[in-house]
Amino acid sequence: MKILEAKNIVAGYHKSEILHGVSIHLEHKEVVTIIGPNGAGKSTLLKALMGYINIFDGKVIWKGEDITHLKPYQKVKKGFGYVPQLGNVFPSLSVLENLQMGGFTQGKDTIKERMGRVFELFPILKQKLSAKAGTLSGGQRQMLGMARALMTDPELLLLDEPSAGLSPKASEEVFMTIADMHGRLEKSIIIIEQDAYQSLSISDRCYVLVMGKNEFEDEAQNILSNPKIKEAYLGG
Amino acid sequence: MTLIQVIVNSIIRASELALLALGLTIVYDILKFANFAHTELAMVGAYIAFIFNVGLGLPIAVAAIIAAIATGLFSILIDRAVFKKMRESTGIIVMVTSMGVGIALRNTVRAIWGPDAQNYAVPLQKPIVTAWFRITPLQVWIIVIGVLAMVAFYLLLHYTTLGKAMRATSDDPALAQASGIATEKIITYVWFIAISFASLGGVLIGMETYIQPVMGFAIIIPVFCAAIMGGIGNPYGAMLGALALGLAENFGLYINFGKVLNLGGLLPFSKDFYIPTGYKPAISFIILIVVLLVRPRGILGKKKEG
Repeated sequence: MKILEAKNIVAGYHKSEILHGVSIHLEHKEVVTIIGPNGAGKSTLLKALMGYINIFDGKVIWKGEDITHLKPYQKVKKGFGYVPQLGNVFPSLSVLENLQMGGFTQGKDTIKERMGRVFELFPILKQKLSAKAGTLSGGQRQMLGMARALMTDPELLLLDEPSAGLSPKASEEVFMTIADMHGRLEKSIIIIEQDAYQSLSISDRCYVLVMGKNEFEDEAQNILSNPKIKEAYLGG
Repeated sequence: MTLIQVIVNSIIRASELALLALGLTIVYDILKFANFAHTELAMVGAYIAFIFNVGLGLPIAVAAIIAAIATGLFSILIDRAVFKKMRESTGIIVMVTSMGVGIALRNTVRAIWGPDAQNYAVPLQKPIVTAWFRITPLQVWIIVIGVLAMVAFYLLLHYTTLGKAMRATSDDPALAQASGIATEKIITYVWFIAISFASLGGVLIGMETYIQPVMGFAIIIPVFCAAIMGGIGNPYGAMLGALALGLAENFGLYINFGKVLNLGGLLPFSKDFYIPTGYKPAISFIILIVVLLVRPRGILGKKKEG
């Protein structure tokens, strides 16, 4: 069952067009990776889906409802969770306060219950509740960013380069956690990633974007075993 | 004047300034522009209290509360009509616009009530006299209200969802939205809180002295100085800055500079030289310049983390 459809998205910043008619879809409980060279419009696509930038043309359909022009906080209420590449935590707030803000739309009891679940996935956060988020390591911030997004129990998670700037070990931990989130919490996930090998290994399908357009689409395993695509987009 | 009297006067001044500087700094923190209409809105609040106190005969405390609410709501209207349309503009453009808004407010009040000073209907106060200092009941109230406002603001920021959402919006408005926070709603609350505090500050200053259309313009430098000295964008900095400025202004008038300047008779300066009271505002100017030169981010200047 398709839960998200982005049809012919034309979008960009102010008046400059970055995406020239990109289409993607996502099935229920599916993990999809979007790859492509720098400037392909991957992050722009996530921002457009989330409602941060203007969609000049095209539609975003969420479970049959047109949500193209909803604002980000309205999309959170619909079931979207978003973890940006940079600025994924509130640095001056404590870890606890970050999680509380993640559950801003939820009641107190729900926040308590969700925190319990989040600590099962991210036990390190429980030990750092009173620490300012700005003092955490890159990997811990990424964990906190994902934990914050999970506080609303979203059906869909949009992850923008979750391993960016992380050490190989931290990156591996992050992808293990993403796989865990998908497995245990049954989330549908869209990942934008430079380290496409790790991302594809936990994905069902993959889209390749080039210059703001769809270039290619296939099962993740097929892409990993396709030498031409590997050479072109995964560095051989 | 005793040293303790100077300290008491400083605390009174700090309490008034803190109410104004706090609002200025939180608007800056969330909306990233220096609102030059801030003290003019305090003046508007002082005049709204005047309507209810002198015009309708209500007690000044009731008039001050009504004025704080009315001015807070009025600031939301101004935001919707002017500043909201400029959210994507740079700070300097919005700042200049706020100057325009301030001038418009000042001249509108002048057109309605005239340029002359007016007084609230407050009975004459018998001062409380001790061996070390004297203080009027009104001044005691100014300190109490100032301290209560600071405590209330601290509790708001750290123990309420709204306060945490305000801090989250200040940290990263885009991420706040991704957390389901309607940042425009938060901005509305920020305007209301900031300008209600400012209005209260304006009424307290008016009660101690008088109200006049230029009163907002007259206090703009001390208020900016307190906010910048503490570290603009940091509410606790605004409180600290107000206290530091209050002390500096009052000690500036208390110190005998003659003794400092003549170096024990080595230089031809009079033995007694005090800064005349009329030059009190100059102290804020000098402090502002020194702070901007030596430590532009202020005492508790917000270091951007992450």
